Amino acid sequence: MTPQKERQTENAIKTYGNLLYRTAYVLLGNPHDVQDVLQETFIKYMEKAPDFHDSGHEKAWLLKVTANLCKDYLRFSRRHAYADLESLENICAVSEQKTLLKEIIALPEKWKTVLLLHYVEGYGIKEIARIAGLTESAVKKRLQRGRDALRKQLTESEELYGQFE
Amino acid sequence: MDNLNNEIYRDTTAEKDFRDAVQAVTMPDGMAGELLEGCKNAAHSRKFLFRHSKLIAAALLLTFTMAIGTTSYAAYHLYRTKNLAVFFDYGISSERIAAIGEELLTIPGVSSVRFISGDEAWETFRAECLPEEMWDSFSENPLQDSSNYRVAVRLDADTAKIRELIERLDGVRRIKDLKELEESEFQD
Repeated sequence: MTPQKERQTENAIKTYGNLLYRTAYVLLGNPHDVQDVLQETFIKYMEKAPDFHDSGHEKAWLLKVTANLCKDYLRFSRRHAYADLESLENICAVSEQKTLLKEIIALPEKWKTVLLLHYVEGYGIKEIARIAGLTESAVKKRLQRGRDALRKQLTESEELYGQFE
Repeated sequence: MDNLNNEIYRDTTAEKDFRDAVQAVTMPDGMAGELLEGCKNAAHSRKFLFRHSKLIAAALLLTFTMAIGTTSYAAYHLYRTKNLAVFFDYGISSERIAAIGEELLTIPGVSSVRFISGDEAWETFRAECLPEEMWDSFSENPLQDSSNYRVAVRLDADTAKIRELIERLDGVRRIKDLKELEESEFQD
């Protein structure tokens, strides 16, 4: 790896590491898998990243690679994400958020991806469609259904645990 | 669809809680360094493979060819022949050894004859059968007088008759089946 490439990769890890970590964590629920996915993401970045127009382009590219790798991971393992509760202790300091996170991780992957991109990263429908490789109408449908499922799940949790105000 | 758009962009409690919960997730300490090291290692491995790819490809091809070739030839040869080892009388001359070789080739059923010197016999035995730490305990070649001819006999030939003919040759001390020879080489 050239020194320039090394610096570029190091910068990308510093700038986007947390963002990609939480995205992969919500999609996979398991920190060991998350590290594997992130490693593959940054190796792809090192080897195959295009010339980015700007940082927004770079961020979207990294999110797309990470989301696709997570999808492959889940498909390959033929499983759904589940929250590794022990790891939540290390990752999430606030206990209410741990419960919430558990519920979020339990959602189907196709809804989680669009919910993350919209509500956490602030992307619009068009951008989400480009990142996730979907049509705009598919993005809207998934957002609608994801929101409804999330609300339903959080409402049920609230009834069970009484954590929401 | 307008309603959907409006609903999507409304920041409700559920969506806010979702965002807060996800943003609370952070990469563990030290992972950034591990990821960078992983990238460097991957680059190093790929560089090695790329630089030596032709050599690696050639080595793999050679190994594969040798494995196939040797296995096939060995299987073919084993299928087709049986091997005998013909040992000479002590003090025999090299001229007589050469003459025996020529006479062996005239015996019907013998497909090939190969001379193994005492030195070669010892080197082979030492490499294949003796632990390395024992090699220095021999100052002389104990198989000096065990030079022999390896005689390949066709399987469809009458081996017993061939052995009889070989035993009658002047200067032949002993004949052994190659299998029993490998088991008892050091006992001659």
